[in-house]
Amino acid sequence: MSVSRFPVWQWGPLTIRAPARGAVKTAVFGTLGVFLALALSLTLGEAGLSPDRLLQAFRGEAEPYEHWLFWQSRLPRALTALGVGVALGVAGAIFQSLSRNPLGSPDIIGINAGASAGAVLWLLLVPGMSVAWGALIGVVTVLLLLIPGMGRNGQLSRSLVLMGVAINALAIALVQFALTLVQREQAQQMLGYLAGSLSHRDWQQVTLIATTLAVALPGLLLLSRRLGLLALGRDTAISLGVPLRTTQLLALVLATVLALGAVLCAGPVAFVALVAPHLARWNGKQLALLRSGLIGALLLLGADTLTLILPGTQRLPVGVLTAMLGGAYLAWILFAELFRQRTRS
Amino acid sequence: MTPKQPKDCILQGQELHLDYAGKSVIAGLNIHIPRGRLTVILGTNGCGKSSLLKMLSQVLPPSKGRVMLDGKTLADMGNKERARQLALLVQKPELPEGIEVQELVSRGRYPHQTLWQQWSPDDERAVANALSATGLTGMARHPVASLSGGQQQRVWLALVLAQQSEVLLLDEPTSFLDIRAQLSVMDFCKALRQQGRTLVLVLHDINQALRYADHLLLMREGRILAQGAPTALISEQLLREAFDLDARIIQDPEAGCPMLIPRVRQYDHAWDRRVRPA
Repeated sequence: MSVSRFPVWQWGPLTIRAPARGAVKTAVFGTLGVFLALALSLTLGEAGLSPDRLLQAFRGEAEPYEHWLFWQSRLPRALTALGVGVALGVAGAIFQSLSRNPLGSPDIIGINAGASAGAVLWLLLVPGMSVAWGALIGVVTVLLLLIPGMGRNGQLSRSLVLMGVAINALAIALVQFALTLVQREQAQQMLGYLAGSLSHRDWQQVTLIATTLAVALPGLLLLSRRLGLLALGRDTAISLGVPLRTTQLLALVLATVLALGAVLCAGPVAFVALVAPHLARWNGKQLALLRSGLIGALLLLGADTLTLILPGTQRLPVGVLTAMLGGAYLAWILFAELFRQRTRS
Repeated sequence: MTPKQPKDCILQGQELHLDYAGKSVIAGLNIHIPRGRLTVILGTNGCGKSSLLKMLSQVLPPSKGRVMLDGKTLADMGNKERARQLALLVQKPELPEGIEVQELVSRGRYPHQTLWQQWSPDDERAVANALSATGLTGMARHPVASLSGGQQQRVWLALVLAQQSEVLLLDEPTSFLDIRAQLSVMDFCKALRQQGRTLVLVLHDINQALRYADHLLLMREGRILAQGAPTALISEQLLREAFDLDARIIQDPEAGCPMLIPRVRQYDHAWDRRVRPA
């Protein structure tokens, strides 16, 4: 066989379908973009460091305050933003592919709402302890509610979004109920959490999101071939030998783990998981996990940097900004689509 | 009626039951598919033809009963093992956005691949053969969505061909195609049968079924009404039973096989009583 139809990577007995040249290009430019965004984010803002002082701090030659600022405040914050962005982008792509719905994302499916409800109720019932436990319980509850929706024949797609809408409504009602019960300061604390924020992050969050990615990403990448077959429809996928239920269950659990990691590190950040896969498909290609993750990272870090440099937004939680930008983006695509249909007819 | 069992059958359903949404769609159906023959299943809309194909391929596991493939119980076979021996082309497969012809066809190789061996010279050959057999070699890099309906159907046929299974189940492979494209699909199926493959087709065009099938199965309301060689089987009485159809059977002047001609009706819209003459 002279030339293979598809590029492959061979290594001993291993023969792996190599990603298309476009994917390699995306990875290279994406990585460059991430480094650039990281550098920009660290140099900009009220407490930003100029490039030379950034290098000094990096080498450990800066004054103690700047050293602290770089290592304990800005760098962990930016890395958390990147990691959470990757997690959200990939989770969104998986949920959209599982639900066969361009709106399927942790926001819509109810995972974020579940985390919020769990966290708020936890704050109410066990005020002393970290809300992370509450969020964890909330997300696991949502997952347990979603799994039976798969049914005997693995009709996950329809039930995911419908169940999600129901779970969302329920969770938001619980959150509002909790908010009416608490004192003012406590409510303020809850609202701060509910918006999704990246301020005051430290290495604890960086470690958490890095661990999450290390656990869930390899599994999802291994599953991506099967998920690509699921795009041919349930019946075709089964007839080609894809174990439908196992694949859906694994993908659902791993994507939920990613969404959970993101929620624990930054709260329920809105819209990144919804918008990143859309942008990743800009040239009409199928499920692009890595590209979606990269775009998610750039989006979240970009949004966080914006909260640092825009006047009067220093205390704006990044989740509020992503909700504004994401909502505007979604409205824009819808209007553009409507306009295109209008002019066509 | 106990249907006659063909001597050498590769696929058989024993006492198949299917309940869908609490309703029994198929109850106690026995079916035998002869090896190396082209079998056509005929029946009215909703008589359970598609469900039967899905049960025979384990896409819709029967509620009761079992399917045997070459002496083995289908439900006990591994997913990929089964897919290497039996392919199903559904009526409306979903087309992923932006996918190219060769990429889509290559997905048919999935049951032959492992995580460690994702693309082998065998895969390469199978895809190349499938593309050339369907006349798509020149369009390998075209987006499937940019092709005509007939060409797209050839892409799906190439996909199941690349699967290299001995048995092919095709659900209405000619629907929505123009007459020429329909005939090329049928000729293609005949050629596959001549290579020794077993084909099972669901068709709506009775005359095409009569012309191309070795073995005919007529279904009505989840039961098998009759089965056998087309020439021996078909009768005006049977057509009335299977389709409520009033038709004459004449000889196909071209192929010599039976051919049906519906009789002229007194009214056009049987389902609309208002236009029915008093």
